[in-house]
Amino acid sequence: MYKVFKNRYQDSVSLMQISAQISKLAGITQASVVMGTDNNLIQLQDAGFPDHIKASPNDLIIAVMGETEACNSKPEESGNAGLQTIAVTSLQMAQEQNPSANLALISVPGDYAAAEAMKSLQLGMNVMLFSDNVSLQQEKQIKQRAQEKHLLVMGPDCGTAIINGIPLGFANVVQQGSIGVIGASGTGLQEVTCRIDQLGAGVSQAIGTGGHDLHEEIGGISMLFALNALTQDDNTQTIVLISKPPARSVAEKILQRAQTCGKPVVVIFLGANPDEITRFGVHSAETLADAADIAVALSEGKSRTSSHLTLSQSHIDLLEQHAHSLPLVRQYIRGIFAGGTFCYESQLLCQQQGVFANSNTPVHGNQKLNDIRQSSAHTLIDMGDDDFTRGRPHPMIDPTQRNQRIQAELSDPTCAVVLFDLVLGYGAAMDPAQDLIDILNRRDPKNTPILIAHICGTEADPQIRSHQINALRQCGVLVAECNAQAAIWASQIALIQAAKSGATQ
Amino acid sequence: MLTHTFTANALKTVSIGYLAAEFIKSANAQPYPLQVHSRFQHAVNLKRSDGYLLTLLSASHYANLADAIRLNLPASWDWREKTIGGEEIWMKNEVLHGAGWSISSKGARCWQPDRATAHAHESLVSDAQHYYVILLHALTLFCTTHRIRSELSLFPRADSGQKQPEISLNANAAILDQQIAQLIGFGRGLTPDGDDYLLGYIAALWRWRYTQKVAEHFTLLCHGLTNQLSRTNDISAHYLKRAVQGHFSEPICELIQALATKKNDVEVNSAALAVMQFGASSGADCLAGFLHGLRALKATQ
Repeated sequence: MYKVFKNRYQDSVSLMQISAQISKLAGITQASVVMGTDNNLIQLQDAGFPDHIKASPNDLIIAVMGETEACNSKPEESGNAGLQTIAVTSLQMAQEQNPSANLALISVPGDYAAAEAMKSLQLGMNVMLFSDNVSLQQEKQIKQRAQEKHLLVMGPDCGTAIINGIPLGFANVVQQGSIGVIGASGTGLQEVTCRIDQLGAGVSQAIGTGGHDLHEEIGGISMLFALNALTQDDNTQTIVLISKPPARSVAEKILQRAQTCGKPVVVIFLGANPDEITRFGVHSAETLADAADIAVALSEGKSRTSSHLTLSQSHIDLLEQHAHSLPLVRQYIRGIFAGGTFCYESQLLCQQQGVFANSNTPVHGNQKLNDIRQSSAHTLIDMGDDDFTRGRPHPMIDPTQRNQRIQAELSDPTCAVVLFDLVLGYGAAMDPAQDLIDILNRRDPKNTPILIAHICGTEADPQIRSHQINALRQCGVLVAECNAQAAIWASQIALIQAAKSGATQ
Repeated sequence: MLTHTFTANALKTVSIGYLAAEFIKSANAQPYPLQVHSRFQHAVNLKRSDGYLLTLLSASHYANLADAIRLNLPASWDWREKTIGGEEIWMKNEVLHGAGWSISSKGARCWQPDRATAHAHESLVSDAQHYYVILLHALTLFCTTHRIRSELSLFPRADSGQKQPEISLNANAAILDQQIAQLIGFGRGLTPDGDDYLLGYIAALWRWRYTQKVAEHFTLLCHGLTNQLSRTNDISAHYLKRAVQGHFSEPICELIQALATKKNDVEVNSAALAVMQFGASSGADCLAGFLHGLRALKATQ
């Protein structure tokens, strides 16, 4: 059985997928998906297909052998073969097909995103707005409309959410549980939800708000809505709030609401003064991982664990052992991050240890890099920032560019530590460790900086966290439990090297 | 309340291939429409009535091609939804106008590769063997890691049961034509395995095409291939036609240049990886053909 599709062009990857999908069908013994060139027609004939197939080189042939019933099924019935697509061209059509749909995930150019969000709200759907380039004015209009309709808007620029156990955007496969997380930062949400999972607890909902929600202009509309929703959610017993420090007036509004929600609330406003938070009767965390640890402890009725800011003696010994053979000239930390919040948190924690760095996205007190493609002294780079991703995929999706930067740092004789993150989960690269190993294996083991990594992910993620950890450890990488620990380890190495040379940071 | 006015999406040009840039300038003087020839998620081919094929590519998915404009496309952009087969695309003042989108390449960075050609008496590839080992290793690793499936045997003397490509530097015109005929249009993929292999082979020889031991073979090869382009599909034929003229994709140009300028092993390996990352098996087929070319060059020593 064969079918000829006239003048049908499919890219090679789609052709391979079509072939693989058909081959997997029960009753199919052989499948061939090829362009109708003379050579391919001869091949088909040799394989036992009819010798009278009429096709030109510009035609696509799908030929199958096997049980009659299986062969007679049309290719388009054989799964998503890329030949037929159901053209749902509007949110309204989608809702007509799925009347129970109550959330729209919008990923269209910024110019259209606001309009699509308004349409979704009009249709009674909550919104996850993956798109960016939506103005603050538009964001405010959307969120005010959502307020009127008692609907939630996640975003704009919301990359991560887990709603009713379903990961949306860049999210991880975590256990369901009683901790609700609300975050204005995508990788911040990922770190906290993954850590909760690693500690054996689970997540009820993970709600992204978008990075501008806590801006004075917006007033935290989405965070307040989400906080109210989780307050009323019986499955949520503990709540975590994540953000960079908001405008004071917004922070007070959110913390006042948190104080009265009747559930334990853990707040991490990265870099904020903890006293400004705890005075509202909520729990303050110093790192993203601490936020997860405190939330899990609270949900289990236990007291909080020690902070990840503290280095254990065994870790100090381990780091000193590794630093022992580092030559004096190797002085600097080079942090190469895919996650923006990981870069942000690492900068803050390194600063706390006395290590000030250059960055393309410097925190207060750090310096802006003169040339973002060239590290200088201590440097922590967010490779997911627009500077690096314009016209290129985000390093979480395609780590090639980030890996090249790591390779460059490995070759720098002044580099003491290469600090990096691997972010797993849906949407992320399928095997980020493997992509790096080729580069790491090429380094000279006798003349290399120390490598410290942190892997944000879970065992249930498609990439399997332990596989990624093992692969890196086999290459001599020190893998930390969390981003904060990785940053503290890197700082410790820098301090050891500085002490060797008698310099102060 | 937001206004819902519909405006054409002005797609941002990231870079423009050197032949595409020439085409845009010449078409500006004498405008006539292009037609949508073939559409993919991240690429669309536009064909002019004289056969010229202009490709619009997503910059985040594809490297430069001589005849392509690379664009910074929104994440959700899908050319299969944004264009219709046979649709006319107009160009005015160096701006392409489609339904709901427009592309201006004014001021865009023009991609123009370095194309070093060996002199007629230049010694043939003293480093070829060294680079050959690196590239062969890269191909082996890539094929194993990514479970590459080609209808061709990509390694010399491999007992894979796949067709073993035969192209001989010393073959006369008739035999070479037969060898080309065995490969062109053969195998899976939009650009069939055999075409990719031939393209890689041409790329390996291209720098040496004027040297004494290669010149005659290269001329016969190009002639034979040009005569048989109708035996493969339009898109693949276009790439092969361009290869014969010395126009290759950016990763292939960089690989050629890496060898010509005696780059270090890491850089050569990295260039090879970039070549192999194209398509499902196209890149690997191409590198295998390139290695075939290096073997042919070595045989002339």
